[in-house]
Amino acid sequence: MNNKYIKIIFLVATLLISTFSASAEKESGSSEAQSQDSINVVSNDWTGWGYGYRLGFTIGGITPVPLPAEVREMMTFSPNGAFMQEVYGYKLFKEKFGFYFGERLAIEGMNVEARVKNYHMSIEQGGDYISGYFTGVDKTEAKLISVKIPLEFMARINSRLDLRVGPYIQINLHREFKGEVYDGYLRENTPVGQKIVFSDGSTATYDFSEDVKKAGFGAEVAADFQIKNGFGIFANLDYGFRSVFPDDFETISFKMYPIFFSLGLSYRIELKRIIIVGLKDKF
Amino acid sequence: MAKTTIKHFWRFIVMLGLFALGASSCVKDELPNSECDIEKIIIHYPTPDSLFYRLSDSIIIVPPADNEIKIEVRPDADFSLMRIEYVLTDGASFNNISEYKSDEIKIRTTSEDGKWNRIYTISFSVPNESFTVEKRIFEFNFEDHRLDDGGKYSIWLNNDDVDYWASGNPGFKLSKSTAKPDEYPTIVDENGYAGDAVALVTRSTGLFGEMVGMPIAAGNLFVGSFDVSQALKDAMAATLFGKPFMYRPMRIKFMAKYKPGDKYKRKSTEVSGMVDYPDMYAVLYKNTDADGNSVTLRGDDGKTNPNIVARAFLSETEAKKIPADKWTEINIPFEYLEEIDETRLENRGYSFAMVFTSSFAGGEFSGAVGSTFTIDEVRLICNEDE
Repeated sequence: MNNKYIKIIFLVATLLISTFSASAEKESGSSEAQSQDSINVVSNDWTGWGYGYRLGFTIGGITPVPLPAEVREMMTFSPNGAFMQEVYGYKLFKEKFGFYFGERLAIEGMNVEARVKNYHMSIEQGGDYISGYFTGVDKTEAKLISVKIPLEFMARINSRLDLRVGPYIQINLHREFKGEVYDGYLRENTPVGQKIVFSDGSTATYDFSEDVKKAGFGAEVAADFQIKNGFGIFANLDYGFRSVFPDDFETISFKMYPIFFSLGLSYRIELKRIIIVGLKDKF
Repeated sequence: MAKTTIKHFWRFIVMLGLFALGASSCVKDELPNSECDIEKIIIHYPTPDSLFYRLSDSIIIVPPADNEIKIEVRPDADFSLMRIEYVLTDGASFNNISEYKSDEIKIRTTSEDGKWNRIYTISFSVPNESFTVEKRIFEFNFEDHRLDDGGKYSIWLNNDDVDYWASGNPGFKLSKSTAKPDEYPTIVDENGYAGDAVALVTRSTGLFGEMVGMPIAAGNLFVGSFDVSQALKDAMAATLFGKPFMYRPMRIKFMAKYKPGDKYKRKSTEVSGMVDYPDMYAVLYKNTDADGNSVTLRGDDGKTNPNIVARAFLSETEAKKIPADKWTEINIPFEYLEEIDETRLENRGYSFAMVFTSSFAGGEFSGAVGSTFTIDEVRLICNEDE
C-alpha cells in the first residue's frame, strides 16, 4: 500500500521536474533570441553544467550469470513493464570529463518460459518445505518498479557522443517474482527420490515477491548521442551486482542478477554563460 | 566527423547488446542424466500362460519410488526359462548383484552421470490364498499398524502384507512435511470399537495444497495402492483400487462413527447449509479387458467402471445417519450385476476393492475440514451369505 503512494509521489515529482525543464528550455531559448537580437554577445561560453530528461524502453532479465547448464532452452521471452524515465544533471570540466547524476524511475521485468533439467529447488511455505530436482517447464513473471540513482563518470568523446560509466543504487518500490512449473516432474530430495508429476494441465504456482530484496546496486555503462537542438538518443546497460534474492534463499539455488538494457530518446540543455559587452554605452 | 561518431555509437550499442546476450542467454551443453530408474520390466517366457495368471502381468510399469517389485506367478514356474528385459532411464546402466534367474533378483542401477545408484529387488511369489467355494469371512481389525519407513505417517498391515491397505497419506506428506503422524488424514484411533480403529479426517493441505489447487485432503483408506507420482497431477489417478481376489463377496459389515466438520467448502469456497457426510463402497471387478490388458479402478471410476461385477455402496441416507458419539454397525449386501466366471475367478481375473473416505466429494477437494469417519471391525463375508 505504502509503496503505491511512494510510486505516485515519485511519478508526480518526475513529471513536475520534466515540465520544469521544458519551461526552462523555453526561457533559455528566448534569452538566446534576445541576445542574438542585441548582437552584443561576445561570449557564448558553456558553464560545463547541463541537465536533461530521457525516456526509454527496457529489455532484460533477472538471471543467473552465466546461464547454468540446468536451463536447457528459452521457450518464450518478453519484457514485462519495459519503461524508464530519468531526469539528470552533469558537470563537465574542460568540456571533456565530468560527473553525472540521475534519478530514474524504471519498470523492469520479464516473462520467461524456460525448459529446465534437474533444476534444484527447495520451497518453504509456512514451515513446510519441499525440495528436489525439477525437470520440465518453469514460467517466471518478474517485475521491479524502482528508483535508480546513477552516479557516473562521464566523458565527452566529441560534440555528439558522450560515454558514461559508474555505479548506481536501486530502491525497489514494487517487487514481483512469481510463476509456475508444469509439463515435468520433481524428484523429491535427490534424483532417485519420489517422482512427482506435473503434466496435463497440473501446475504448481509460486510467488516469491516478498523474498526479493528491497534495494540493490550495480554498474551502468551508457552512451548518449546528440542529434539536433538538444535532442538525442541513448543506450545504457545496467548490471546488478547483488542477487535479487537473499543469500540464504534456497528456492533458487543460483544467484539471480538483474541485467537490463535501455534504449530511448533524450533531451538536454547545457547552461551557457552569456557575456554582453557594450552595456556601458546604453547608460 | 558526424558519420564516424554515428558509426562509433552503433558499434557501442551492438557491443552492449552482445554483452547482454552473452551474459544471459547462452545455453550450455546438456548435462548427463542423474536418474537411474527401472521404468519397465518385460518378462519373456516360452509359454507365458504357464508362468502368469494374467498375460498382462508380463509387463510391469514400475512406480518411480518403488524399490521392491513383487510379481505373482503360478506355482510351477521354471525361472531358468525366463528372460528379463529392463527399460531404464536414458543413459543409466545396471548390474545384477544376486543370482540371475532366481525367485529374488537384486539389481543395482547407476545413472548416466555416475553419481546416483538405486538397488532394486524383484521377487517372484506364488499367491498364498487358494481357491475355494466354501464360506469365508475376512476380518480387518486394524490392530496391526506401524509408521512408514520415513517415520511420518501410519500404514496398516493385513496379515503381514504391507501392500494390502493404502491411503492418501504419502500424498499429504508432500504438502505438509512437518505434520506429525496424528495430523495426517488417515490416522490410528486408540479408542476403537475393539482395540484400535482407523480415523479418517479431512485436513487442510495448507499453502502448498493451495499452490497446486488441492486445498483439502479427505482421509481415506482403501484396498490397493497409492501412486504418489500422480498425486499432484491428478489425485483421482493416484488412488489405484483393488487386489486380485478369488472369492465371491456377499456382504460387508463394519462399525462406524461420523462427525462432520464445521465449514463445508467446495474447492476453497464456503457453502453454507451444507453438511459433510462420509462414503464407503466395495466392488468386485474384472481386472483385464477383452484384449487381455490390465484394468485398475481409480478414484474417478471406482463406482462406475463397466468392469464392475458386484457392488456394495453405502447409501447417502445411511451415511448421513451415522452418529458422532455412538458406534453403529453398517451392513451392506453385495449386488451382482453379472454372473461370475469361475475360471476367471480361479485365475485371479477379478479384483476386490473397498474404499472408505471422510468426505463424500473429497476427490473433488470439497468437504469440511475436521470431518472424521472412524471405522473398525470390518467383516467381509464371501461365497455364502449369513
